[in-house]
Order: sequence, then C-alpha cells, then structure tokens
Amino acid sequence: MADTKDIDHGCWEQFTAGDKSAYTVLYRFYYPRLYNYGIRLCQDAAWTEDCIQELMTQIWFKRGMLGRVERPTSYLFVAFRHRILKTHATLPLLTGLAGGDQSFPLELAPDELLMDQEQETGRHVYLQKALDTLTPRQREAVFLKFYEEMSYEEISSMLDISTKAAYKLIARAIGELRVFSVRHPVLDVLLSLGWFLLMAQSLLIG
Amino acid sequence: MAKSNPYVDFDTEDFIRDESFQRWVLSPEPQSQRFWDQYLQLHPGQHASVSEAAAFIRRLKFSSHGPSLVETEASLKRQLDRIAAQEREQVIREGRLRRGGTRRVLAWSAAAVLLGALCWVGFSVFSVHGSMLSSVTAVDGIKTIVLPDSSEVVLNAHAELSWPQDFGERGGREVWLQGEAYFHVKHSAGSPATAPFIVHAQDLDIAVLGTQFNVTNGPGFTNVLLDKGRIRVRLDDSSLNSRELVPGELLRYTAANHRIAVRKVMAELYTSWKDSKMTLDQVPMSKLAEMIQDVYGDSVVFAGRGLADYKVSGTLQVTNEEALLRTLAFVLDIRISRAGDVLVFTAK
Repeated sequence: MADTKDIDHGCWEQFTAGDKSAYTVLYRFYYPRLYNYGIRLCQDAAWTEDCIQELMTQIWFKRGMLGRVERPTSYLFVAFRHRILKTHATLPLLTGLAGGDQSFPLELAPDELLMDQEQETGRHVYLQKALDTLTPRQREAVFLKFYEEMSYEEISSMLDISTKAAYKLIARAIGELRVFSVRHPVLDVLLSLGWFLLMAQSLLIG
Repeated sequence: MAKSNPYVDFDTEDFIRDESFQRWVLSPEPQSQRFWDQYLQLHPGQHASVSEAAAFIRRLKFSSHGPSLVETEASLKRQLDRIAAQEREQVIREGRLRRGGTRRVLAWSAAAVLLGALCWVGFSVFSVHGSMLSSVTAVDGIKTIVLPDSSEVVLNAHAELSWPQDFGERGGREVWLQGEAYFHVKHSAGSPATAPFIVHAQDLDIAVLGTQFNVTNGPGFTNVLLDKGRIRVRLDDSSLNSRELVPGELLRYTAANHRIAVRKVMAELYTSWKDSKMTLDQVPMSKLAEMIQDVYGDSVVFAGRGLADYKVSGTLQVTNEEALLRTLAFVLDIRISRAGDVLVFTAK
C-alpha cells in the first residue's frame, strides 16, 4: 500500500547518502506539514519552529542510520511529536479525557462550492461544533487520519496505542461527528430558520 | 471479487471507517476508482451509503496552519546555516584531535566555509548562472533599483532580484525575480528589437520591449500585470502557449492545475503597493475583492446585501494585506473576519 503522502523514495535515499539538495527537497516537503501539526499540539509558534529545526538537524547528522526507514512520514511525525510534548515545560499532557478541552484545534476549511447552499452552511457550523466537543486526542486522531491520511497502524505508533485502540478512537469520533451530518428534517428547518434570522438581523442593523 | 467481497453488508459508517474506502475518497487512483465503480455496479443498493460516506469524508477538510512559502524558505535557510555551522565545528574538533593540526584545522575550516557557501548557492534558483553579479533583496519595506541600462525596478518586501555580470552586453538583458516587483524597462540604446529584456519569474519568463508591468511570484501562482507597453509571457510549462498582453491585462498562472487566465483588471489596484498606498475614486468593492483574491489568495464573501456594489473612495494603506484590511474596515465602517482563507465582510 503506497502512501501518497510520503516523500519520494529516491529522494529519501539520496538524502541518507548525504545529498544536501535532496535534504532541502525533504525540508520543503515536510516543514509545512510538521509546522501545521506542531502548532496545533502546543499552540506555540516559536516552540514548533525550534522543535522542527532540532529534529531536522538531528536527522541530517544521523542520516547514515536512517537508510532503513521505510515510512519517512511516520518516522518524522513520531519523533516530532515526542520532541514537542516531552520537552515543553508548560504544556498540559494530552490525556484526552476531558471533553470541551480546546487543545489541538481543528477548523473546517470553508468549502466555497458547498457554502452557496444555506443548508450546507448550517451543516458546516454544526459539524464544527461537533469537532469542538471531541476530546483533543480524538481531534488529533481525526487530523492524522483525514488530513495527513495516515493508516490506523501509523496512528497507533504516533499515539503509542494499539492499532485496535486507534481504530476505536477514530470510530467513536466518526460516530459523534456523524450525528451532525445525518440528514435530519427538523434540524434542516431549524438551520434555515436560524440563517434567515441571522440574515434579517444583519440587514436590519446594516 | 464479488463473491468474497467484504463490503456487501457495509453501512455508511462502516465505509467511513474503512481504510481503503478513505484512501479512494481522499486520493483516488485509477485502480481504486475501478474497484469502487465495479462494486457499485454489482451492488446498486449500496449507492446511497457509499455517497453519504464519501460526502462525510469530503466534508472533513481542515484549514491549514501551515507557513507561507516565504516562511518555509526562511526556515530552510536558518536550518542550512545551522547545519553548516555545526559541520564546521565538527571539522575543527576532528582536526584538533589529530596531532599538530593547527594548519590543517585552518585549511579544513576554510574548505568547510567554502563548501557551505557553495551548497547555499546551489540551492538558490540562480544556480544555473555561474556569473551572477548582483542580487538585491528588499528585506523589509520597498526598494527601488536602477539597473545598468537605467531600467527601474521597485521591489516589494522580501522580494529578490538578481542579474548576471554581463547584463546588457552582447544584447542580453536578463534578470531573475523572487517575490513581487514592478518594472519600468527603458528602451535599450541600440535597436530595441535586438536587446529584449527578459524577466525570469517562478513559473514563467516575460520578454519585454520598453514597458511598465508588475510581477508577483506567490505561493502556487504567478501574476503578471501589464501597465504600459507590450510584453510576451512564456510559461515554463511548455504545453502552454506564450501570451501577449495589452495594457490593463492581468495574466495569472496557477501551478496546481497548470492554468493560465488572462483578464482585464483595474491596473492601479495591483501596482499601488509600490507607493505604499492607493488612492481610490469610486472603485466598486467587487473589484477590490477580486484584487485581494488575486494578490493575497484570500476569497472575499460579502454578508449583507449591496456591500459588493459599494463604491470606495479614499486613500488606503497597502503595505501588506493586514494593513489593507484594517484601513478598509475603517474607511467603510464594516467588520472583516477571517475563516481560513475566506474573508467575510459584514456591514455593521
């Protein structure tokens, strides 16, 4: 099963052989993704940047030992997560027990095509609310699954749990999110009513 | 396949949870496409569940907190400097371990410095041209450069312009650009036709006779706006034909889908950054929104009727997007909020 979100295998091999231009390709490929993930984990831009730089320095000097890494993405993300969480002094551990905890924020990207339909806009709002009520750990798992497109196995090594537990974690999150996306006539009516009121209000004030 | 197909009894949620189903929805490939097409043909009753599951997965699209292209390049540079410094240290340490290594240490560290420098040059876009003489970067703020042929270039913040040692000789006037710049190219002293001025941008080249135009190398796109004169734009992507622009036209190349689009715009909205401000007289909001989309990549949504047709007059700060939006909100007395790369303009 080829992972499309892994860096090209040839590039990884060239880098482990000491090719610096392959290393810059690697850096450009992973930096934005690690950043996008790290900033959610610790919500500290400077810390995220430091951790990436330290990790990437380390892999350059340890490159000789990395030739056997089969999944660069997994390898880097696992190492990165450890670095961010282990050494950050003030970061609360993501135990994932508390719902409503706002760490690991996950915002839906507005879909311009769908947003034209009022019903879809309402659904968007509700799905976002549902995402906000997930536990941080569920949000993280959902992010790794549907944004980073990692396999259950990769997620299990990321979160240091069994593959089965990773599957369950995500299945449960999906179940909770689904409540808000299943077609529901009453919900639809309420939503469009809500939007009507909102529009009317903005028109009156405007 | 049909007989032992494990998906026969799947309901919507089973599909959502299934790894190969997810993969098909998120990154479809011919093979998975064939598989699921065939599956649906054999099990037409599953159509509703499959499309509901796919729609659910597609809705889970998250905004990125990723850094911009410029930020990534800056981080990469810091990283390479850091590695080069550590490598120098390492070489020096190893040198000291050898007996009487002072001279050798010096030789080694010089080599390391040289190596570092070579590597860095190697990474830059300009590596093709060994004899690059001058390179000017506008670190912050706007900078005006006069080239040897007295053509003027105004660089926007973070932009970088380079040109070779033999610029203007042997009939060649070529420059390389990163970031955004406004060009005022002078007719060359000789016959203009023999000395074209060429701007190499991120995804395309621009061949020029005396003219004024604006180039923006953005993340994933390159904009060329012609103010005066005539230019021809050649795309790096050889499957696309070159285009000639007339004044007031904006050519936009989008890297993701290899598309070029040419359309008429209000040129002054796209070039006013070089004066740090734009003076507007009865400009419709929709035109401003179009410019914000083209230049900053954010789409604008108007909440409230009539806002799009609102005419804007006044002087706006345009040193960056934030300043522009702040002044816009103030001038129009509206609220501007952001959701990812969508800006919502709401009447107060």
